[in-house]
Amino acid sequence: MISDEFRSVILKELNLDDFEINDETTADQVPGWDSLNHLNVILAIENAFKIELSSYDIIKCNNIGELYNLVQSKLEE
Amino acid sequence: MAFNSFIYIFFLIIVVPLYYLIPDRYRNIFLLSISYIFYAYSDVRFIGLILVITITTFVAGRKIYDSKERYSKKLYLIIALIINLSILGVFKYFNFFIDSTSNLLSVFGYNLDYVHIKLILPLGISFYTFQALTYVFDIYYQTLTPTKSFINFSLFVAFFPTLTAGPIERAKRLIPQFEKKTKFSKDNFKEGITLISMGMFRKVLIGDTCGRIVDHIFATPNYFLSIELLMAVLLYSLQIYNDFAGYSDIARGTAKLLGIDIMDNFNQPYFSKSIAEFWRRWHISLSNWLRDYLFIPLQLKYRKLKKWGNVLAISITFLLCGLWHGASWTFVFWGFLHGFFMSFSVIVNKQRQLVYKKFDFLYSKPFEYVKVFFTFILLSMSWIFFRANSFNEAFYFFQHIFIWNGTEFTLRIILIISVFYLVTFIIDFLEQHYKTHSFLLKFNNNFRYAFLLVNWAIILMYLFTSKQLPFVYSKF
Amino acid sequence: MKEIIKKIIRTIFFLFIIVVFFELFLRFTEISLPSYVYDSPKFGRIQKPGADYFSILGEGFGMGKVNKFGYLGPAYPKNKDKEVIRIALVGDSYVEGNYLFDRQHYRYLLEKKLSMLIDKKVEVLNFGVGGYNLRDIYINFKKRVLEYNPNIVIIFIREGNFLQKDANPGPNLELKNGSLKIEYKYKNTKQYKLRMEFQLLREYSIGNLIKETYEEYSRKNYGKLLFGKLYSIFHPSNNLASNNSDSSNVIDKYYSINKVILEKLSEYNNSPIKIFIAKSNNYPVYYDNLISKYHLSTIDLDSLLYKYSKGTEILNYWKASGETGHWNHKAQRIIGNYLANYIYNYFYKKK
Repeated sequence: MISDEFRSVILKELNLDDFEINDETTADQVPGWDSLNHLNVILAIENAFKIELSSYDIIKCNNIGELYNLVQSKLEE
Repeated sequence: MAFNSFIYIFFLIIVVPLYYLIPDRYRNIFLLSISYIFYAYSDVRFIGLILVITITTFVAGRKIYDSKERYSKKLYLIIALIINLSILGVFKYFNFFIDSTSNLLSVFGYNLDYVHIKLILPLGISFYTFQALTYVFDIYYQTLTPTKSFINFSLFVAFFPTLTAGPIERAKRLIPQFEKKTKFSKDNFKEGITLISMGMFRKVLIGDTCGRIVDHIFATPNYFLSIELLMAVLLYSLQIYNDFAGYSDIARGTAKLLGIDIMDNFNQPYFSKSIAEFWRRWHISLSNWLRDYLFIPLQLKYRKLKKWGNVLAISITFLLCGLWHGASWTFVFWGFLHGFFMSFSVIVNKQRQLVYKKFDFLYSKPFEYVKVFFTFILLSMSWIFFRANSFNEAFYFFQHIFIWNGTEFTLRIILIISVFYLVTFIIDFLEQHYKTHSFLLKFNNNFRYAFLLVNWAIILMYLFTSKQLPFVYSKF
Repeated sequence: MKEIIKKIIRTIFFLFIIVVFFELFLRFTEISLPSYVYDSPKFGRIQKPGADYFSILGEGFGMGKVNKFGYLGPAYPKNKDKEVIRIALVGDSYVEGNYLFDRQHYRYLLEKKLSMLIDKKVEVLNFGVGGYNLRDIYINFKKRVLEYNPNIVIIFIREGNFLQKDANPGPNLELKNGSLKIEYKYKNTKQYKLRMEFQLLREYSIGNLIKETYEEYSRKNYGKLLFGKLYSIFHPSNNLASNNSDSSNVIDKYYSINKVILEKLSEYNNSPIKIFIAKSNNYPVYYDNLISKYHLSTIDLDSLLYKYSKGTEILNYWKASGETGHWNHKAQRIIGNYLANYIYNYFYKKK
């Protein structure tokens, strides 16, 4: 269950005011989250939560929920 | 075996019914054998190559999955990559590498007594190696579990509709389909026939017809005037699109006849409003492959550089994309151009947003057409490097196209170009409107039968009376 | 019952608009134009005045238009000014050159270069028709070319023209008491009547495509086309014996007619019209003998081209299609230049 903070970081980076994203949403379903912007979204998340993720782990994520879980597990370290 | 040939039509007429008559459990072996026969018909010498790629990738996939440490997973992935890409590299790029190195060394005064290996490019090698690699990549990134059946995996690598020139499918999309029971479906059959028919129309009646004009003018451009050079450039943009889209339609249609679903490769690419959008609509299977397995990993690796990380990842990806198409600096330069256009838009993105905010009309519909037109100009100019055999030849075109000297045939030439573009536009428009390449199925039955009848009559007559051109992408 | 009739009418209606669509598509993209030749009662197969042609399936790429008088090049009328030098080119496809644009053809290059050299208006008329043999060429010369009052006529006779059978129905030469008579028996042949019936087809792009398919089919050469490599496996090609038998020992069946043709051409030796035979370098020796005997002036273009290329360049090789056959762009330039200089030297150079 992604947190509101997590959701707002993504939406803010993509300049989206009001867009529904949940655990199952994938990047290509979100307007503006194309392969070029992917880097910016990841950076925004890393900066917001003050963590550093490994590329391998990021690529393994299939949807936003898994990305969120990855962030959580990094925070718990 | 080229798709645009009588022998392929006879091949399908025999293979497809047999496929459904054979009991389900033998169907995959049957398809596998048929695929190897299909490949052997074109070139029997390189069957061994497909086998080597198949075996190494299958074994590597198993090893990657079974490894506990990420380190050893990565090792097996790299081994699979090295083997596959070395084979591709040697056959495709050895002479190019030798030539380029020797040219470079001679600048410094070193004369290299080098060996030129007489190498023939095995048919489809750029495609099936990439298709096989999706298997190990996806296992490595844990989005796929290894296939138990070696037969199914071999079929995945050698599947004849996609063997020659793609679409480059993913293991996780294709292998599960082989594991399912296939039942004959009238809908699949109708869609398959429709796709093959549209593909043949594109390839035979637009791709080849434009292609002959292009070939003659590019062979000896110095004997042609600027209006004819312009015709060659404009028709090449159409040729390469219709040739490849036609091929992809025939590939998808053939697979559909066998109850297999293959991904779309083209999404009306010349309707793109930007180069970035173009790469989401052109040769989708390749750009997705490059995006998922090359660009994203690079981009994430360099993300600390922010937009320059993007630029670096874009540049590397597009240079390699150009190189993938052919062992020649003109292909690399074509890749470089696209990388440059993409990088440029990334670098000035912020400024562009500001300009857009200030000038409202930039969001308007008419301006969208301007963007499409401008993007198309960039694409056509880039294609010149893609097609030309040398930089000199490409520059010749640039030098002479803009000198206007009309001839007595200017009107005829304009008409030829316009009608080819109009017909391509109509097909693309219908594809976009009905959101499918098999838009003919949405039409009235009687209309569809009438169209298919006339279409095939003319295509068959044309195949009978003219020497066919090979598919452009089968040379890659 | 009504439903079925409705369906049939609808299908026919759709068929009609689809056929019209394809016809327009094939015509305007010039994938398949209506035929630019037709069967004229007077000459048999000849170019249609005003017709567009677009030749791309062969060696080269050529676009053109038959002029309003029915030959190729600018439309020069039959009457000519006294001050004008008019040259007629007669022959088969080597003269017609429909695989070229006119500006790439030696017709144009000869005209341009010679007018520069002699500072007079020069008109070069291209009467070449593909598929003509020597008899057709001679009939063309007598019945058409001469009506245009040429000063100079260059007749291109390739070695193959001597023995060639009739490719298409048309007037023929008969030898009667040592003189040539043109007979029109072909009009009664079944083949000709069939062609007349389908003449209308050739006015349409799709019709012309059907006609070409039929012709390709009747040549019965389609095994390889249909069955590809499988055909080669089951029908290994026997060494195709050349159609031309060893002519140095065999008097061919057209020899007597060809002999009289050459004799008739020599009757112009002392006339105001100057005739040159543009020959290839592989004539059977008995034709070379006849040419000497009748004192016919010749220009050996094949030897010229060979000398120019020194055997290194193949001047009938077309890079685009990879085929060899007719003279390519470079050869056209060489020939145009050479003919201009030759004629200039022959007639106008101050000795």
